[in-house]
Amino acid sequence: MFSLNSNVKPLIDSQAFNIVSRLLAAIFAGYLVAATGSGLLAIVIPLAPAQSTLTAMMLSFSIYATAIIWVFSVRNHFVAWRDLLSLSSIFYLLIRLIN
Amino acid sequence: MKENFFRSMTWLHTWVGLLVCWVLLLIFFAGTLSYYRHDISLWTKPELHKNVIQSYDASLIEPELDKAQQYLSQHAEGARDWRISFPTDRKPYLSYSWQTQPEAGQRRGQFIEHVVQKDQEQLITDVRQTKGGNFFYRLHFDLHYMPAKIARWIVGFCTMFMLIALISGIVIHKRIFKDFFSFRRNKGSRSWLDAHNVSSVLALPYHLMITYTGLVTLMVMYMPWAVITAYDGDSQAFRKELRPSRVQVKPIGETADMVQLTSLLPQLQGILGNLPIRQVVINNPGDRNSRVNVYKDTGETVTDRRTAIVFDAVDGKLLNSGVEPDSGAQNTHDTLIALHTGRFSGPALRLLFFISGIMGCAMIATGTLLWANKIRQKQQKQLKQGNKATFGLRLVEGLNLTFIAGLPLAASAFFYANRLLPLDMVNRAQWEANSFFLVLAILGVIACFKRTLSVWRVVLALSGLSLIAIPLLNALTSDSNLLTNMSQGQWSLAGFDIICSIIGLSLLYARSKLSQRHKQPAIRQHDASRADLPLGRTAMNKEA
Repeated sequence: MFSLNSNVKPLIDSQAFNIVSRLLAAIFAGYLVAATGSGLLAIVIPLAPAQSTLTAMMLSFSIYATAIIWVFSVRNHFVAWRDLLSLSSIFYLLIRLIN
Repeated sequence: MKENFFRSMTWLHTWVGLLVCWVLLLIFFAGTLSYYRHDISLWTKPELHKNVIQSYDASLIEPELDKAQQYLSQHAEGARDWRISFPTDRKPYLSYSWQTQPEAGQRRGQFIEHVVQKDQEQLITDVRQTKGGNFFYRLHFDLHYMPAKIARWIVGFCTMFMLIALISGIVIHKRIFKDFFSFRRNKGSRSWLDAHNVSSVLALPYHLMITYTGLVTLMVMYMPWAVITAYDGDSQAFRKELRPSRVQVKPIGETADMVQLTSLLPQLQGILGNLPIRQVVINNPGDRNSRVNVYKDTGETVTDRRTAIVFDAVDGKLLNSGVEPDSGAQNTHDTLIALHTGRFSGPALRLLFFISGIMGCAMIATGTLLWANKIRQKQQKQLKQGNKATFGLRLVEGLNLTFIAGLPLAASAFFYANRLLPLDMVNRAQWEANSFFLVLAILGVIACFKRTLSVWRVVLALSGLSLIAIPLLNALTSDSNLLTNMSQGQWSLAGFDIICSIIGLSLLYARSKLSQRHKQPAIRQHDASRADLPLGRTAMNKEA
């Protein structure tokens, strides 16, 4: 018999899990931040809609890149998930609030 | 914390770069060639090498428009659109072309182009089937053998990785200016690192620009979220507001006579002044819902905004004078796009773009070669004991051989196929493209069995020699050759031959360098000791 704990714990601590987790956070949570971030920018930038939308789209890749760098610079990969997911939820709530 | 950041950036740079580098190399390579897209297209159509090249003459526009309209209504009835293209610097000939109605399930119809001879009334209608420069242009973002949509997502993914590799590369490269001036030759992996640094740093602004603007060109696809919040996802409305002159109209199925195109000229001159007309496009010719779009030749203006002057093609009413509200965001966007495509650049700047593109290829290639070199050093002990290299190393070395040595050879195979395949071959244009990928595939198979320096030398020699022989191929398979092209001022044709030969010569030079390297002791002691560092934490940051 095996206990769940003894099997899962070393997996979570392993280097491979750390890397895969960061990679997934970078690609998906990073994209989420960029998506919500640019969505928010498009409605808060005080320009004509077409222009603020254009500006937001052009900036979205900078947001994405910053988010990815963030994922790989924090000490713990759970922190990366936590930061990006909460940031994108804040962005999302703001969008809902304004729209 | 700072050391940790530095460390993870090094790791990120190595792995992010490595994961996508071969696709990136293909994208960079195809993109670099796309700077000469029109020149390649012209070279691949020897039927157009004589009597077609002319320059724009404003006084001839009226009779030319008349003739074009007459010709197209005779030959291209029921087409999806008509295009009358006047000579420009990049495409120095007058042509009538049209797109047939797309077949079921296709997005585009067939594109047919007839070119007007310079001194005669005759048209050249029998041009060989070829994708020409458009093959490389499409390959750059649509890849091949797959739906464009999937390909564009793959390309976007790789481009984002490239951006991350660049940013992390800058972070780990503390001595950016010092290394800029240092190149240690014949020092094994140290030299690869230097070569990687030089090619990256020298053209760094270009690399950053081309990567970011590349993402911007397809941003509506990659990041539609701003449109979703600001326009409730109605991208049609967004586009209409952004580019009112470029809204597509659908045919309504009622026939109607078209206005005489020349009757629009007085109005046009009022708007355009002395600016030359680049192209006249008529959508849905013969339908009551038909439009005439006139594009001006903006020449070397950086924000090459492709706005059209739009007329109703039935009653000739001006619908849009092509003046769009000038806004910071839009100008920024247009500038970013123009920087990516380099449409505004004259010959000298274009060459610089081309060289920067080659530097980008070199950056990617040296990066992966450096990586393979390091891993081989790490496995030095096992290899000496007669063990096989690990799968990862074999894979990387195999892909390096296939793509780095293979791409120039594949491109050259494309050009040879263009001239040597029988003219009446079924699917000829597709077979030209196939021959490009066949070369890569054959090299890939060879790389499964043998990846030694001698294979590299053979491949480099083959591609070098075949590229040097391009002027010969051109002389034998077209009516003109390098010398006659130069004497007649056909510089895009002559330039093609010259650039191919120069690249061929440099490949031969690279081959001879490989022979020398082979004679030296491959690994030095201090390099080997460095290879023990974990996670790609290699010489790069230890020295920094």
